[in-house]
Amino acid sequence: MTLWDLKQGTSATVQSFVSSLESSYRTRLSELGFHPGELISCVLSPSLGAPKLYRVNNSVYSLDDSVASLIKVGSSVGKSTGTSVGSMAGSLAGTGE
Amino acid sequence: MSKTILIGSPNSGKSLLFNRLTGLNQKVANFPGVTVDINSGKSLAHPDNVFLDFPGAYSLQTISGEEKIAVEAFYLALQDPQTSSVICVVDVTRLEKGLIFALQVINACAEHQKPLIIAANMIDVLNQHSLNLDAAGLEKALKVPVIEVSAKSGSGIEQLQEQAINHRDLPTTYSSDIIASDESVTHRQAQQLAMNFGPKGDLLINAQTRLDEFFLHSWFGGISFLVIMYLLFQSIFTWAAPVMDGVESILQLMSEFILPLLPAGAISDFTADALFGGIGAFLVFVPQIFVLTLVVGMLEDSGYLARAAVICHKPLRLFGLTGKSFIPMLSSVACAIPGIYAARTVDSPRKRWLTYLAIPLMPCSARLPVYSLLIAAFIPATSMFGGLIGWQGLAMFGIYVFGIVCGLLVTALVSKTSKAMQSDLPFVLEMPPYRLPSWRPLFRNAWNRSKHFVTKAGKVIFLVTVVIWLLGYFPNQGASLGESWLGQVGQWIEPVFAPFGLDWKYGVAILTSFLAREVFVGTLGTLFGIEGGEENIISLAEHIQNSGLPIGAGFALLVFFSIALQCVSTLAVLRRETGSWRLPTQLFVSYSILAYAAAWLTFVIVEAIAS
Repeated sequence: MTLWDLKQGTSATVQSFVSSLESSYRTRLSELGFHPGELISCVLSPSLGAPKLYRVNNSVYSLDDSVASLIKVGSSVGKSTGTSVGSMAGSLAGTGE
Repeated sequence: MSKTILIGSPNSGKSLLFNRLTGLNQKVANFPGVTVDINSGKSLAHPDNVFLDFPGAYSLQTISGEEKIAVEAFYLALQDPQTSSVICVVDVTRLEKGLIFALQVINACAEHQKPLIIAANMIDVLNQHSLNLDAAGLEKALKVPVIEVSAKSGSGIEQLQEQAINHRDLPTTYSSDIIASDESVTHRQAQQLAMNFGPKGDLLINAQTRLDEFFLHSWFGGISFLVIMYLLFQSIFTWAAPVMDGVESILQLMSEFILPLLPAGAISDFTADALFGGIGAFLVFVPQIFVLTLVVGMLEDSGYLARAAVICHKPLRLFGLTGKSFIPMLSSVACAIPGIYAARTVDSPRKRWLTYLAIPLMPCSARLPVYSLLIAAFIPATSMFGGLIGWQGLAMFGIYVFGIVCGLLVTALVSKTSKAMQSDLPFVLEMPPYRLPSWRPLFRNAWNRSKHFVTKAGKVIFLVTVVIWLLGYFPNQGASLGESWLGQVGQWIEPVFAPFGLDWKYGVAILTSFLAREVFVGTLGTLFGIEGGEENIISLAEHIQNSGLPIGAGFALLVFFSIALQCVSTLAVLRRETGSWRLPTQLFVSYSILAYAAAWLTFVIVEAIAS
């Protein structure tokens, strides 16, 4: 399943990128938050194949099928709650936690 | 003299902050990638310190040529001994994304031993929604000063100015905990920091999503897009009309006051024909430029433009373009030059090249005086629903659509037949938050654009007008325009424009308009002024009506002006952006031929229908 298959209001975790995606774009998508392990919500899926809106933490990006279909995701986790989930919450020394 | 670098993610409010710090008027908008050059300005509070505003970047690891240039310039500036501090601007409403970039900047500053300050911008948005940023906690975690600022309201700016001065050239020690070489570690750190110190809850993003559900709805989104675009063009007429009438009345009063004071002869004729007739005819249209820039600025500032890019992406893809082409194309409606610069935000080289082909066909504001003049001469000024729908506004909408359609057809044709630069970049566009426009920068920008239009185009128009007047007035002191030097030249070129019903006066006006389109109005105003010889200035549209110009010729002129590339500045900027004269030359020649052929065809069709 790819990110493009995600239905509006559902979320899924990024698993990997399709191997044909150039490494520089892979890095950029990761920096934008489309990072393996990250939970992505599809907030809007207009009809007629228009680009869909995906939420990553507190940012929203519009991706068209040419790129969203290159991001592999796990099975969707039902209705999105709209809450960001830090799936790979690493510890950070000295952050005042 | 010390320097402070201003850097941040696209759309983090960096340019507005730069304006606050320096008092300059750099263009500001609410979509990613407005700053395309490195701007510099002296600090208002400490003139011995200069701020350098770098283009917004998502990352210091680049994927496009433009990003590479900006990032290399940033590293070069870090090596400059005069660079005393760096300010990284972070949008606190999207803290994690900003922090990913800030952590990379911290890394770079640590490497070059430069002190860094984080400007936590848009704090006013958090305050409005009773949300908080734990700036002290973030500062402690990063071991870097974090100053809460609002570039929009001005809060925290003074503190940031002081910090930039006090912090400069201080020995810097960065926490080894936050220096990461691996991007996945940086990502996790940013996520953790945002979670610990950032605003809690989804209030802002939920409000944004609700508006997106409307503005990007399959039906309502499309309808609202069309309505917004239609209102944009109607506003050019309905909002600007009273001011235009005012300018015209002032010019009329001035001419009535000044002309009787002048001795009869060449000076009086020059003042009436060249100054009031030529330059005056052009000044009347300045309010329209102001309104157009203001309305496009409102759309940019509100965050709507990015949604319009999403709406247009699928249709534009049919023509070989991308949704990102929409922003430079709409900017070109104000002026092709910022449009060409804005095309740098189109990251795919092929799509950027195709966008360059479309930009000169976008109906820019320099065409506006020509369109307005011809529409006023040929279309009745009747309106319905309190000026909401008027025939002249509809005609303007129609001619604007015509230019846009021509641009799209050209890109579709070239995209289908050319294989140049086939490798492509994917479409990823960040959706900026919706914001109420900041009125002061908007009005300032519209004012500056109008001023620029008057001073820059005005100089050319003045020179051309004087030359045209001298050639048209002598050797017979304005007794007969047809027998003047200009008349003789004009009759020689008349056969070129005769196929679409234009006499030599229009031919001369078209030739002069190849310097800049708006010169057409000034030249025609001067020529009719000399020919009419009257001291009362009547509107140029009335002169055209009285001249008996066939309706087919009027439409042919509209078509000619919507296609021909009559702008020296556009050609020069295209040359600068593409690095050679090849593309500007190709566009100039092909669009001139296309304009001529389309104008002739229009004349034939309209005259056939009219008769």
